[in-house]
Amino acid sequence: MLNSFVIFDTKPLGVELSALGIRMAWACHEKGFDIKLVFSEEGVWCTTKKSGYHAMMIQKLLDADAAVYCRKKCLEVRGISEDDIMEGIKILDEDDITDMCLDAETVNYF
Amino acid sequence: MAKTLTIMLTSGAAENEDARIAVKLAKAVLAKGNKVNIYLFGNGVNLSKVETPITGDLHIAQNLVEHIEKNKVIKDLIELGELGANISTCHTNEHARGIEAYPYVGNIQWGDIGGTFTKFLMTSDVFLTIGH
Repeated sequence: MLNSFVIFDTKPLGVELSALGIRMAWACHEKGFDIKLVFSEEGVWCTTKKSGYHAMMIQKLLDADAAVYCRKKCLEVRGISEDDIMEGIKILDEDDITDMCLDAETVNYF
Repeated sequence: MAKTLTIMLTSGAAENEDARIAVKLAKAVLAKGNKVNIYLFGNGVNLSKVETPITGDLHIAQNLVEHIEKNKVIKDLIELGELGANISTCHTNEHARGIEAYPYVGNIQWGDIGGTFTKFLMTSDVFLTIGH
C-alpha cells in the first residue's frame, strides 16, 4: 500500500489538470493518505485569494489540516507576493521540496 | 512476488502519445506477472466508451484517418481488461464531457476519485500519473 504522496499542481486556472490535481489531493487526504500538495510553475496562480472551485477546495484542504505549499521561486518570478496567496499555505524553497520528494513514496505531477 | 502498478491516465488518444505509452507499459507489467490498475481521469475518460461510427463518407482524408486510428487504444484497453487489468473511469469527468450515459468498452467500469481510485492506491506498490 502506498501511504505518502507529493502532488505537484503546475497548471493555472482554466486548465482542467489543475482542478484534477486538487481533487485527487482532497480524495486522498479524506481517505487518510499522507499528502503534500505543492503549487508550482503556473500552478501558483491557483493559490491567490479569490473565489471559485480551486479556492474552495484549497480552503477545504487547509481546514482539514492538509499540507499545502507554494514554491517560493515560482511566486517570485511571477511577481506574486506572499500576502496575495491564501492564508495557511506554506512557502517552500527548492531544498525543502527536494527533501519532501525524497521522503514520499510517490511523486505526482499535474 | 507480484506487485501492483496503478496508472492514472489524464490524456485521450488524440492529443498526444500518453495513452499509447500507458497501455504499452500496462501490457509489459502484466506480462511480467504483476498487476495493473488504470484510472482514466480528465480526457482519459474519452477512451472508455464504445465508439459510434457514422455512416457514409467521413469527409476526412485517408492519410489523416490512418494517422488518427493508429493512436487509438480502444482495442488495447479491451485486451488489458481481458488480461486482468482493472480499468475504471472518473464519472465526474465523463459528466463534464456529456458522455456518462454511454456504454463502456470491454471490462472498463464506472468509478470515482474518492472511492475507486483510492481503493486502487490501497493495494498499489507503484503509482504513476501519465498525461500533460
